Amino acid sequence: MNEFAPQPEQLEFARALTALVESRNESGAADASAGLWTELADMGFLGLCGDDGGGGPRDLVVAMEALGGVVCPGPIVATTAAALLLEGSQLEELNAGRLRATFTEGVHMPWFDSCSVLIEVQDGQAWLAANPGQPTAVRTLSAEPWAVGSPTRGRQLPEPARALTLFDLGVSAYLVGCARRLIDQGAAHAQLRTQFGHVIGDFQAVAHPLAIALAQNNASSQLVGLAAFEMEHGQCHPARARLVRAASTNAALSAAAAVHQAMGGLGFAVETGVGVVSTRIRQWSLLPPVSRAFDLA
Amino acid sequence: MLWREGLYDPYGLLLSPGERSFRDQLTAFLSGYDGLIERQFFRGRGGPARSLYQELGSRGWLSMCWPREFGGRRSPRSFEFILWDTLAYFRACRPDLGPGLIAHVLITKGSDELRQRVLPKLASGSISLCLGYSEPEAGSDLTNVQTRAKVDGDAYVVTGHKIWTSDAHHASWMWLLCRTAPFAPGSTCLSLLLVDMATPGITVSPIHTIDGHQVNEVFLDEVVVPVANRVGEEGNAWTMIREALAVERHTQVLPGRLRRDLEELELLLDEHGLSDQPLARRSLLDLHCQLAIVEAGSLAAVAAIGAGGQAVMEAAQAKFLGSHLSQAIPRVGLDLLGTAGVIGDNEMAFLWRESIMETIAGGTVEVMASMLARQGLGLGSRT
Repeated sequence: MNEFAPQPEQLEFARALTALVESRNESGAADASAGLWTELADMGFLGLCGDDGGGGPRDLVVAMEALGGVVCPGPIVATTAAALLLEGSQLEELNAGRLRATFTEGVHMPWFDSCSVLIEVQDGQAWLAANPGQPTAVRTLSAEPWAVGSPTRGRQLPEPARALTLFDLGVSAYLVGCARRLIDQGAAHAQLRTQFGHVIGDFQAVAHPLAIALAQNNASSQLVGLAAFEMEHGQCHPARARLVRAASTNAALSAAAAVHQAMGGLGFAVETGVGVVSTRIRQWSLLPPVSRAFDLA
Repeated sequence: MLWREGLYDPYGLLLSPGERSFRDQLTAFLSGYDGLIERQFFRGRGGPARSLYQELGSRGWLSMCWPREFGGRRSPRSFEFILWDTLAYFRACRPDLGPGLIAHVLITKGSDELRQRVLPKLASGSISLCLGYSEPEAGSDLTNVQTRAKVDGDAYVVTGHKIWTSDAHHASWMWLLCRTAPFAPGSTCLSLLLVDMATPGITVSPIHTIDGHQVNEVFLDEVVVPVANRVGEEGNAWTMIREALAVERHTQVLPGRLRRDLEELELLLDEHGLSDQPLARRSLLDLHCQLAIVEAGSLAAVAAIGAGGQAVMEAAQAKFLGSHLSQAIPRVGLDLLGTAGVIGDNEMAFLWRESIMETIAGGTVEVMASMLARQGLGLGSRT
């Protein structure tokens, strides 16, 4: 049976990306600094799946899961997916870290202020936005800088299915990584916090929800890896990618809930950062294009 | 859905040419086999199921993953998974205990004499076995087994009481977990014996279950078992069966069975004109999500076993997630079908009853969660 588990070189690349984000202290930030973006580009991550990127979907999802694990900020999923849509000077700028892209379904524009390319997606078709339509900055659940506007469509981008499939898998992988970070944090807390003369992790009512979250999240990670393997062999139907995204979303949201429960008031307090990650999970699960993410057809 | 339209094969890309060829052969055989009865998968391992095992055995399929010196082909364990998963999808039969869990222990721990005597019969599928594990006071806590086997010359004299014993009413042999000298409590004095079910002193009493099936109580009253029928060293059973259970666990709730359950639900919804209702679509999406992660997790377990690992965590994960999904499908199904769902003997009503035991038998989901907590997260020492 063919392997679809991450390969050593993929894991090594993922570790390097993790170290980069952590060394720049940008875990959980609302948006990525220019310096981080440049270094991600220098490592070849942003254009990984583009024509000259040298990588494929499996490389991307392993890397994206690792970046989710350090809550890497910014439009990393949209930009890496856009590498399959853009060409010429725009693709060069993207690869060099001088261009960020984001997707919209016509109203909401994640990280609009820091993005120079806006791509509108509707019913599986994609267009470069000719005009963002007077975007207005809005507050969001996870405090990330989004805007709302009325973009007008410019040039249609040919054959976006592959890019959109990669986007769904990228979001899925990121959510898996975020959820694993939370599960580890919850378990660490349960190993130390003492009540009734025992660490709370000794009690099944605390240990089991975290274990269930671990099982579901591990399986989601395996599913994302399998779907990326299918995509590399030209056999990941867009509906399959949407299913993977829905499955990963369910697992990540359940994990977040379990960890909040295990950590009690500490999880509710700002200082532990649990809220940053759980709101990140909720908001990224709804990154556009999402309107068909929960539709079977 | 994609696979109903022939657009998606969950294992398609992963199969080697040999695995694909085997699956094709097996599918062709099952498609033409007229010995299946309705819901045979859920009716135990005797009768028509035993006939089917013999057909599989005659093709060498029950022992294909065994070492060659014991009559196998040394095929990768993935072939076993493909075999039982496909049979589950066809609602044909569950994994046969003999060529699987029992043979693996015999091959590694059994005496030469026992292997020569028993393995060919297991490979042929001609004998049926039951697991004499659980007792009234030893369920999840299996180390609390009280059935005693005292040495008398070249035999053990066994007295005890087993319960929830599947297939005992038609089994030829029992794979018996019992306590041997010095009869200390805990796991250190547990031994494994192969017991001929025709031996005087054995009484099998049915326990009828809510899915129309039967398990059993087995009473052993001074049953004489040759010492030669002991498997491995005295007192070493716990290690043997724990290892075997952990690895075989990934075949307890097979994705093929769950895929078939979900297809049956979709067919029922079609028949009742409910498929396009928004609630049905959303519910089916959730179930398909769960099935997708169960499939991926099972495949990851198979891959890990194939790579030489024991995949204990992966197998526990597969059992945990799969057994919950086996209950979720009929629960959602009956919710969507409404009153029509409780009328007659439709598939969702049957699965609702049957699946109640899936989170209990073969290791409860609580035990699985405890294993995951302990081994995955370092939590739960009081479990």
